[in-house]
Amino acid sequence: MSSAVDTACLVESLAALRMGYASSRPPDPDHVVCPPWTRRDLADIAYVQESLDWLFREAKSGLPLTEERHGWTMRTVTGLLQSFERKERDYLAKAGFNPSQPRVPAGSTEGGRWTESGGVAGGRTAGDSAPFRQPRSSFEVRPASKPNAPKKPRHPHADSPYFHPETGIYDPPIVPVYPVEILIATVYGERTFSLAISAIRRKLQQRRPYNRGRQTDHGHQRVGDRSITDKDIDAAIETAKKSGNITVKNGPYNTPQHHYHGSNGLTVIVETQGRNAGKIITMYGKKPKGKL
Amino acid sequence: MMTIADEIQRIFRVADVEGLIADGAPDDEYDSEAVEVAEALAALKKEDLTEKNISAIISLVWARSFNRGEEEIEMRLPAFREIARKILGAS
Repeated sequence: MSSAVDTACLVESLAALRMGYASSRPPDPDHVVCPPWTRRDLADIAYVQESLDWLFREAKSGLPLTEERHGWTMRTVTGLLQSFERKERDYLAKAGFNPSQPRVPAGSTEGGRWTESGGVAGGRTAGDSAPFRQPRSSFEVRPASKPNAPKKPRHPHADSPYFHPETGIYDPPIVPVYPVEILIATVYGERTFSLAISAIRRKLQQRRPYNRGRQTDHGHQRVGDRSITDKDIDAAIETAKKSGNITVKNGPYNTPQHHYHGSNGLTVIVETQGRNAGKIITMYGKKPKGKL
Repeated sequence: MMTIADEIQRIFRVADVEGLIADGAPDDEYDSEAVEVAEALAALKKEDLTEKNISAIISLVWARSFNRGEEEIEMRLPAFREIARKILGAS
């Protein structure tokens, strides 16, 4: 997906979201961070990126993509991508953008810019919905500058009170971004949220994003602690399926789970519905032969 | 002598929020979450060690670790509050 207007802002906000922090105020999921994208959209974009990474890894591992394991994620990602495209198209239409407007051919300093005459209607077709930059008028007055002097890009938050021009650091206050963070801020108050997130901030920064492919973070930690390999897990699930040694049950909060009891002595617990559908939450048991 | 981290691990073990130990998982199932909470509590000032703050930290750690959404965390809040109370009692 391409960004509609402010790529730098979008990239920076996504990076901040991945760390679990927002880049602007207030703590409102409908707050527009980079037009037309709201906080909620950015969280969704981050989710789509992580889900696509996971699907790619799954496909690359050679295992077939199945309805049970991947169906929900694929449908969610497709739905979100369609909604992003619709939103971007509507936004550009409102801004009066014409995707078939000609552009200056590559090879000159003006290459790629939109023009009103003498250019080529190149690169992107009228059917394309996502241009990479806003249209510019060919009558735009450009400042006189050395032709080859590299222009320092302006920081996307240069006007923010949280931007320190001396250091070039943008340091916004921590505000809830993810729905679960908003919940905590709502239940316990902003100060408690801020305090709690600050307390675990250093730890969070050392961690990778939520999505760890087919395992939750907890599952991934258990894999490391218990020296279990992906191969062991696959073998446990495969043999449990073959022998029918699968327990279907609900967790304490009614989360449906499959417990695969593999012939290698490993039990693998996979949630089957909701946001963790198809994800391994833990595994335990005797280690496979030769690894004891 | 038990440290506060050991005590938090014990409290998480007894609480068994996700029911994994009851299903047969080893006793150290929640140790990484307990250590993370203990580290976060160590970063708080003494006057900030309240049930509310501890409960919020547990919620954040849990949401990350188990990839739980807001509804799932909301359902677990009473359990987190109970854990927070026990941690306060132990510290």
